[in-house]
Amino acid sequence: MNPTTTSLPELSRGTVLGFVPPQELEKELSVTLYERPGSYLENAIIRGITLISYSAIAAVLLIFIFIAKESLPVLLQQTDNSRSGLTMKPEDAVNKSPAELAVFLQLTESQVARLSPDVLQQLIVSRNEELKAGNSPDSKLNTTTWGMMFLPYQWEGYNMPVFIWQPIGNIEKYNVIPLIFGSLKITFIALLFAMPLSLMAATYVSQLARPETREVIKPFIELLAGVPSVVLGFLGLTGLSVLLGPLHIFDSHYTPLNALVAGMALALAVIPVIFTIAEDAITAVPVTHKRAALAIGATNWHATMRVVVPAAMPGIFAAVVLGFARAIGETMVVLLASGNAATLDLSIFQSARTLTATIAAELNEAAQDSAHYHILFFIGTMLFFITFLGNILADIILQRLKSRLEGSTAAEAHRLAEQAETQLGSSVV
Amino acid sequence: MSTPVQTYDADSGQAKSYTLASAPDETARQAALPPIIQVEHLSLFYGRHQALNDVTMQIPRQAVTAFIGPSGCGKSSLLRCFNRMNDFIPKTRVTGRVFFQNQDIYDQQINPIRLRRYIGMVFQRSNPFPQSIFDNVAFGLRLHRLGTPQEIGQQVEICLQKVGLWEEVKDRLKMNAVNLSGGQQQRLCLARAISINPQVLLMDEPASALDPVATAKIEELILNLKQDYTIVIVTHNMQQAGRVSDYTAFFYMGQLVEFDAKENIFSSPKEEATEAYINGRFG
Amino acid sequence: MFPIQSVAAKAVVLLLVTATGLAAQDQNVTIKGSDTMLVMNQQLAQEYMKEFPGTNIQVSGGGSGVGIAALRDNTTDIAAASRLIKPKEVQDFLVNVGSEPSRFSAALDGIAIFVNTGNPIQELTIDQLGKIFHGDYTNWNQLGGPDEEIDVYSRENTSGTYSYVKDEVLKGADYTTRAQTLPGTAAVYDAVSKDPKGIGYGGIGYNKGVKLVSIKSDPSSPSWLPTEENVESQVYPLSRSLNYYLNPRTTNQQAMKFIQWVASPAGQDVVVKSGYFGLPKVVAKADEKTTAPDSTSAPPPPPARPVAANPSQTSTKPTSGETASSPATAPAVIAPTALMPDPQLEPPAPPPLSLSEREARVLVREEAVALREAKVAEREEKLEAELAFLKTTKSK
Repeated sequence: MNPTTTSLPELSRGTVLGFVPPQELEKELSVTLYERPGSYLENAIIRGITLISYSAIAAVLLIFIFIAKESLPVLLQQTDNSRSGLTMKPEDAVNKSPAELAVFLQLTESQVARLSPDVLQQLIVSRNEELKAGNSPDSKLNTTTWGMMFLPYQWEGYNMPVFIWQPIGNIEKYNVIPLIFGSLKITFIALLFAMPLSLMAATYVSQLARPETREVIKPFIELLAGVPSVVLGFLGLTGLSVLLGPLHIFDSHYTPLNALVAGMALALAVIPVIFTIAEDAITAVPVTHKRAALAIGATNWHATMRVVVPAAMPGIFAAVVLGFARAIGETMVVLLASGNAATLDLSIFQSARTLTATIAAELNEAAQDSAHYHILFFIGTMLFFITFLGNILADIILQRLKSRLEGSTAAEAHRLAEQAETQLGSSVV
Repeated sequence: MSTPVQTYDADSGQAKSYTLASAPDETARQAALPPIIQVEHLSLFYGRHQALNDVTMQIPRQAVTAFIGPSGCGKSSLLRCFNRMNDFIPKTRVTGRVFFQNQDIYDQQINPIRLRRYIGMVFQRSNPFPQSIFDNVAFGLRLHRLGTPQEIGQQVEICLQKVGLWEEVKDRLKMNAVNLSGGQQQRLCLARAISINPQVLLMDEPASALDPVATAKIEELILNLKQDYTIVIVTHNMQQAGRVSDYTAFFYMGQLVEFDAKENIFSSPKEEATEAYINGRFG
Repeated sequence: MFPIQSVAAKAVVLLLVTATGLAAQDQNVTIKGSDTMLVMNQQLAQEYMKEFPGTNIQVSGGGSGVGIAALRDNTTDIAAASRLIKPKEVQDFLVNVGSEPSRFSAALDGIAIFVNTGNPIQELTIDQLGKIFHGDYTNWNQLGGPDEEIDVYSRENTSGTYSYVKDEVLKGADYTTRAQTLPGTAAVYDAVSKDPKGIGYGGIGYNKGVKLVSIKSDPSSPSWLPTEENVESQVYPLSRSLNYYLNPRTTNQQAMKFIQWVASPAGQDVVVKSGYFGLPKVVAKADEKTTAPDSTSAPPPPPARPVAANPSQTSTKPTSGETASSPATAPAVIAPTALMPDPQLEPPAPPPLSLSEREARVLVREEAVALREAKVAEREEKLEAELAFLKTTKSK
């Protein structure tokens, strides 16, 4: 007997895997085709992952709201640190209205209402001292206005209008221009060093180096990213400043801790950032492009520089933008190595004070809810916006580059570029 | 005068030679010219794997030579030996010799980059640079510093006309080449390859990723281009080989089984394996 | 040897028992603030923990302002401050805490003004110094030195020393914008030691590798170096006291004990070892000062160091004279009774010429905090009583 013809009917329906008898197919389809795809666990996990992804947006928003909230009094120009110089007798406290006291003590009425008469008198004594301390005409100024923060002013004792950041003292001077200038100066120097070095290294490692060489160099450069920034700052403070000492012949105002030292130390922090992303972008350029160039008689160098690198331009650009964000947001290196003098001097051999270092150095000190405190948060908001604007600008340029390089072949590089861009948001402040 | 074509018997390892005596007049005329590429006892290894085994053959001038054979038979490897593109594949080792115009291109002194200026190549997947159409064609000219900008402009136009792309793109030469369709892209690559007027044009399955209409255009182009260039084409498609080639070489398992004028290979193959493959019995 | 050892062992056991018995949770004391005082505090803490095993004193820096802010936020028991608390900070305390912290002097410090060892400058007046720090003088040849730019090194503005120099040297004016601010006194010393054009300021305790400059109040007066004698006798124009501020909310007895111990001879020994100057022996000095209020206008030659009088032995004496004398020296005594000055007995403070305006203001405030201090002393008495009780029970 032929086994195939006899064995089939003998088998029970269940043993024929996946077989559905025609008479039951319609009924089964009416159920199975309407089942939700995936198990409950699967769906729950997907929901969870989705939630986590969205929480990144929430995190950025919350950070921004937190910083903006604390800087709101400055943004709305509600802060006022002017002093009339008029004092109040402590024993008069009982006769004064809470509103008067609140104005005199620079508190809110609800705060005044909470205080006992005893404490109130002590407060008045203390406030009197404060008011008597500075008898300069400048003490009548509110130094937290936009004008005082962004425009030069001729303070008492100066013979011309100046930009001054000196928040501690009888007259608090809050001009942020030297800080913005310092941040940009040091960032510019850092990128000046980091950009060519890291892009050259990325090109070399990705295209020109032999595979064995690449396996050695790449991890070492990426290891640089793991060096704590305080170590880099220390390197600048103790190593670079001594090493670059002989450069003082170029500038009579040369100071051992200067923007160049800080910029070079900062470059070490920026190099791995630019390198990693640029290297990925260059490697992502399809190898067929290079082959085509080589087949037409191009040298490896020509193929790399005229075909591969231009094709990776969006990714490289994103790498530089991310490097910029890292440089302007970096705190510890500049705090240690820059000398932190809030000058407006263009010389790279002179000190500079950055926005980040100012926040780091002064936020601990600032009394909560003081003008100083709010202005430091305002600086944080500015940093946020500088990176944000940089982001938008980068996006516009990226879009243009993309449309120039549009096509499936450049898609990988673009994907990397976008990936790098989304990371920008979290590196702020 | 007939040109003897040598190969080795797959089974016995004995050298055989074929005479292209029965070729038609056109083929005879080409055969009368000295061969442009001569391959002598060429073996190619990728690591331990031997991709080519002792191949000896001669590529005739100003004709289309097609390499056919099943996947992994070594036909593409041999093609890449002609412009030394195999150099870029790690752990590649070559024994034997390849002469291009009587120069041993595997000589230690040879600069393979210079060689590729004379032996152009078109790949299976179109790979235009993500640059403008004009820049794509002008790339090789600029690279080898051929001509003034005006001359380059003229040459670009000529090349685009040769590949039949000029009418389609003349108004948008600055457009990014990656926006062209697949067939257009491949013709652009062809234009790029011929822009510097190479002696030999190597084509590695140039139409395998294209639709029939685009394929027909490419085949038509190949027939036109053979007036000016020696063309070596690797193809999976036997009908294509029948349509475009003058000579056909059949490879199997890294060996050259049979090499003869197209008519002979397709109508009266000498080897059983060739016949089996031609008739679609394997491969 | 044996009896001594057994006594010591008993003492240790007793202390351990008291310590653990009284307040196990109060074994930790945190001190935060002035970087100037950081090294001294660490050494004091080390010595104290050696003497009273089982206690744990945590010391951290950050600057005087940071310490006071931490005190306000109730994150430290003691704030170390190389300057006096500012009115703004006092108001902050009054509003948020309801009282202000009490101050205790721990040591004296001379703010050294120093230049590179290669700099020929020997002495400067306060006025010249102010002009250097303000940026009016930018070249050493304006001061008789070599033709080189002046590099001014300053501290971060969180530093108490920064404020002190701004008040006392710059008279409230701004530092030059070119002044480099460095994190920490040691960094300033280090920078000046490497920079031939540099000038910096900082606590004397870190003095290393630089040349100290003699300072005179005005061109006609003699100049002084920040030596121990000159600082203690107040002739050195830039002397100040290094202070502890006690958290008014703290119930930590150990913190008070530590502060008292610092003022004791054992503590003062550590202070001197760490490079600062011990507190003057007040009782003798206070009298001297009040009888010769014009001592600083024509400074006497540095007096020999008075014979040490243990503050704890003089603790029964009323201390009305102390607050009247220079606050740089007066609040130095932190023997228990010093915590409880009687406001009734206190005569209005005469203006001693060595007093800085700022410090004089503190006197007024000290009256205001007398009540608070009394409470602290009360607690202290309670502790003493409990100690005594334990002693008696233990000896049985």
